[in-house]
Amino acid sequence: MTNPAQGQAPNPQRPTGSKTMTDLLALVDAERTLVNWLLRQRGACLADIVAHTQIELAATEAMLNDLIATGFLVYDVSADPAVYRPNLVSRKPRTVPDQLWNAMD
Amino acid sequence: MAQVISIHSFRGGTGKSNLTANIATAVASHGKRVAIVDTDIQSPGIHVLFGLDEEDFTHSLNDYLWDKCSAKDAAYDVTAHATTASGTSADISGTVYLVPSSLKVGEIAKILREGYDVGLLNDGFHDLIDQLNLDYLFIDTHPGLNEETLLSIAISDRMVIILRPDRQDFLGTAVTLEVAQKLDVPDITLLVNKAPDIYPRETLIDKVQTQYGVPVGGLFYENDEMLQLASGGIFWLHHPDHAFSQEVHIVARQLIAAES
Repeated sequence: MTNPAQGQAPNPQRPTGSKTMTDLLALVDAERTLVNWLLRQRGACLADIVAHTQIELAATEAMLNDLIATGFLVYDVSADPAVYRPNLVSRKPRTVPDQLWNAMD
Repeated sequence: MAQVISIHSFRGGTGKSNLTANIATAVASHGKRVAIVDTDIQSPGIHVLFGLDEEDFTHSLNDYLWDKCSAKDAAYDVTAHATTASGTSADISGTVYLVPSSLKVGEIAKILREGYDVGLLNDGFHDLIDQLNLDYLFIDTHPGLNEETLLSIAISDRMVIILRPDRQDFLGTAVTLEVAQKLDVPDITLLVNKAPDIYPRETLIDKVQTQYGVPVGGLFYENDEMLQLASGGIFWLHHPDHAFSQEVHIVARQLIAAES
């Protein structure tokens, strides 16, 4: 994963296998706290994130890049400045047979 | 700055939707602009307390989540639907909006089957706050812990957990509190509902507060009048002098005081 602060933005496309809120609970404390905060903010730029976390820039970037790589965040370059946004879905697709779902349509 | 308040219970049947409708309406009676979002997509029902049925709303939360309408389009001003025991509209100085979930089986199934973008639900909450100029957004959730519940916990300024004086509720509430702490919820309040009148008030409140280390904002005793109303309206408007109604207003005033 490349570092957005060094001019090479991470892949803005959503990683496959988006994460759910349940996955969020399994993160280590620092990562979970950051994603929680980004959920409330609905995204934030790097400068605001560093100001919030009070963690040094390189360490914050490393954490953000890990969270992008694992699918919890996306890096949205369409915003100015670019922002990190949560990338969570309500649930993973259920494995109930189609026949059962179709009966409810 | 609007306050987002999520109302949870670990188990069903705690009276969560009933208390949500009563407290939200009581907050609105202080001149506040309030919205209730029914995120209990699997088993929606809070609209019944406002006398609405499926034919009364064109759009629902489901439509918003499928990008068929804006969040505001799915919000209905139900202030005039809050009626007194005589059937006349109550004199509420504020406004109550309701965003219902769909009651159509196919639409419930579609949400369960396909899920939705959590960010979209979060955006919808904020759109409602901005476009309806809200003071409070109440999120009525599905009982237990699921993805929607976790989201509403995560984005709330305050979480209200409703429990009965029941061992299963006590155990479940401990789990919910642990999750709320993991999701960094700033403020948590417990409401004890459906308490049998054999329990002295102070004893029960002390027991719950000691067990969880979280304040009890209100204690509501079981009563026949509630059973008789049978979700046929907002209780405190039908029985304004009842002890239950007085407790509803105490909780409403606490929420307003916490904001200021």
